[in-house]
Amino acid sequence: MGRFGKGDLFDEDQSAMQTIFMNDLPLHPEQIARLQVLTQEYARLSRRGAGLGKVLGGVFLLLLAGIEFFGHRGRLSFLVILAPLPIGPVLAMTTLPYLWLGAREGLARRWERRFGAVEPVAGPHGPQSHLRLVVGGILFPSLMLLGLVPLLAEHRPFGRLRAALVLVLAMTLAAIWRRLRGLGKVERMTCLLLFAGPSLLLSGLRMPAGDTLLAFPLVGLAAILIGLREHAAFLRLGRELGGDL
Amino acid sequence: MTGGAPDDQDSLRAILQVDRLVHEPARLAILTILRAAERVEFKFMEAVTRLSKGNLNSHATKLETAGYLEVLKEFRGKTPVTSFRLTETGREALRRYWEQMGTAHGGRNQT
Repeated sequence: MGRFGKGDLFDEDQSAMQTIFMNDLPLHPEQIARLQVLTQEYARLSRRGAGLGKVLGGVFLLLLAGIEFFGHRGRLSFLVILAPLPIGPVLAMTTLPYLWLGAREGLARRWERRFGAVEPVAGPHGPQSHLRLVVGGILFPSLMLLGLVPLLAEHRPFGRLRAALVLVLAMTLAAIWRRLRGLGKVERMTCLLLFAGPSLLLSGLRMPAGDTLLAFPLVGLAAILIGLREHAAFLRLGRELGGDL
Repeated sequence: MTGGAPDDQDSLRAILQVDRLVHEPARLAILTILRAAERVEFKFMEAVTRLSKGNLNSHATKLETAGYLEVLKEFRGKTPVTSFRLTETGREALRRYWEQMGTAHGGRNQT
């Protein structure tokens, strides 16, 4: 005997009942999938300042590359220590990563005020993946900045102000890791280069010519293009959420 | 007479055992959204589900009472902000719901 015995109320009508039940599904599977995509996309893009944070980071990287190139009168070099740029322009450049972080945060807050904040799910492998990113992508480079730059530049007077600025840059990078959760590859590179660029200029150390002349503008251009594409996607998302952004 | 083919019986059993708390459009939408994020603010939930504040509150309270979601209240400056987070119980309830719906629909599972 089956689980529903003879004379059971549902014995004869179960397939009809099932049809009725399925027709009464609370949400269509496509709606379910759309809700998930909408939430994930909003979480990802709003955290990144709707792509505009990336665009701004890219512009700043181009600016850094330009300043370094023209500051050294276009001299190509391979891991040599050049005369450090005057402290004035370097101080101004030191503010760039902070301006970027501030603007990125401001843009993220702007969208969050409009539609609320959504914290994305941790990476595909959970917190471990984020920990790897933090150690490999943020803590290690910031320790490199702290240790390697003064070491390489030790034969030249490394003024207290310059040392303090490098220290501040490296410490900031280590301190903001929580907020940088969910960064994409290009944005992670942008962040690292924005912090590394002024640090190198402060020390007077010149990175390999290829890296200096190509990494900054290439990552900068990529960030601008991807940022603009993300912004267009975010505007579409905003219209779907029921308002112009 | 038995109760029909075993598959039909499984389907029927799955239908009868479906969690009615989850099987409601607004609440299913809320749980689906929460499954896609770590934490979701009230405002986003309101915008994406198109529910009124009162309705959303009412559904959230039911889900909170069942232990399916956690309501987090904090202040951002002077503004009170309410957020929701899916609990492990809620995640499990949603997983079980889709499993039952899949069985009821002849093995088609929602991923």
